Amino acid sequence: MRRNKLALLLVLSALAAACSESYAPVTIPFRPRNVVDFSAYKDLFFIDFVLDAPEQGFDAGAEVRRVFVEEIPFAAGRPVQRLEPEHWADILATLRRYRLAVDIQYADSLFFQRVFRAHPQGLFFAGRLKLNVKKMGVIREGRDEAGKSKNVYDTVEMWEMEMQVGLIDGDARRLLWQETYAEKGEPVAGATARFTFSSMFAKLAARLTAALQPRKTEQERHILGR
Amino acid sequence: MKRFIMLAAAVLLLAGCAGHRYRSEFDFANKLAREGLWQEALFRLQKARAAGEDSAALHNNMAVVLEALGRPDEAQKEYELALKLAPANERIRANLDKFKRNEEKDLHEKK
Repeated sequence: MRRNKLALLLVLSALAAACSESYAPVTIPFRPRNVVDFSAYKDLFFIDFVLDAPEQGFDAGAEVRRVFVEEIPFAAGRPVQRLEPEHWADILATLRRYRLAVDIQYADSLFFQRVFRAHPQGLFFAGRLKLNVKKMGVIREGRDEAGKSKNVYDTVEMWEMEMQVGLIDGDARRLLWQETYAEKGEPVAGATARFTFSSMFAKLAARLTAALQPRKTEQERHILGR
Repeated sequence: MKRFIMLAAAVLLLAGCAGHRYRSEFDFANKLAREGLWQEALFRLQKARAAGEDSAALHNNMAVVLEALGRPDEAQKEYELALKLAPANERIRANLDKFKRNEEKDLHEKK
């Protein structure tokens, strides 16, 4: 009787083992797809951005250009050349002087179609940068001569920066990718306008870099044994 | 009668060999996958497929390996085949769900 029970138990164990699913976790590398395959293009160009920003006593356009020509190549894995289409500098200067809020459709513009044709197999960075500097009234907590706390009216500057950047396939005259990044904050006390601009723009550039060069991560999957 | 028995024995033996080959290539592929040798694991899984039967596990593992190798289009097909063969398998479904989330994220970022 006991032998029979043992045999039954063995049979049941064997059946359970046979029915149970065996699996093992594995870690797979995962790299999100790049927004654009930069290697598919002969050249990468940067076209000076349309700037909608108040005069602050420094060349904001030069800072934007520097980031795209010196830093973005690390994310793209390719050099980025500055492109200076004829008359573009004059157009930009006019737009900036009158702070005209234009939304240029690069891929459809006749002006840029000529530029794209002149640079076959090119990929173009283009976009606009908007900066608003607002003065805001705030109530701060202060102390009077006797050391008692009191509310003090003060004004602070609030900077709001927005960058819209796009990648255009020149041959196809098609906008491949476009993103808008925004930041806002108060300048650090005593900082120059140039410093505030550069540090704020660096934050936007870092987010753009992360988007252009997705980071490799790891993810778990299950492989099955049977 | 004797010839028939011999023939049946030969068929069974060959079938047994084929099955054994499938299992060993398949198991070896799993070992390689656990070690992160994705290209080799894929090669072994392809051999297993060429040698033997179809199974949900084979398709699932093939999908995982293809995903690891950065071939999402092929991986998706394999996951879907695996789930078709074993619709109740939670592991396969979980793998496919994670895969799809990645694809959706990519699509969203592209937009």
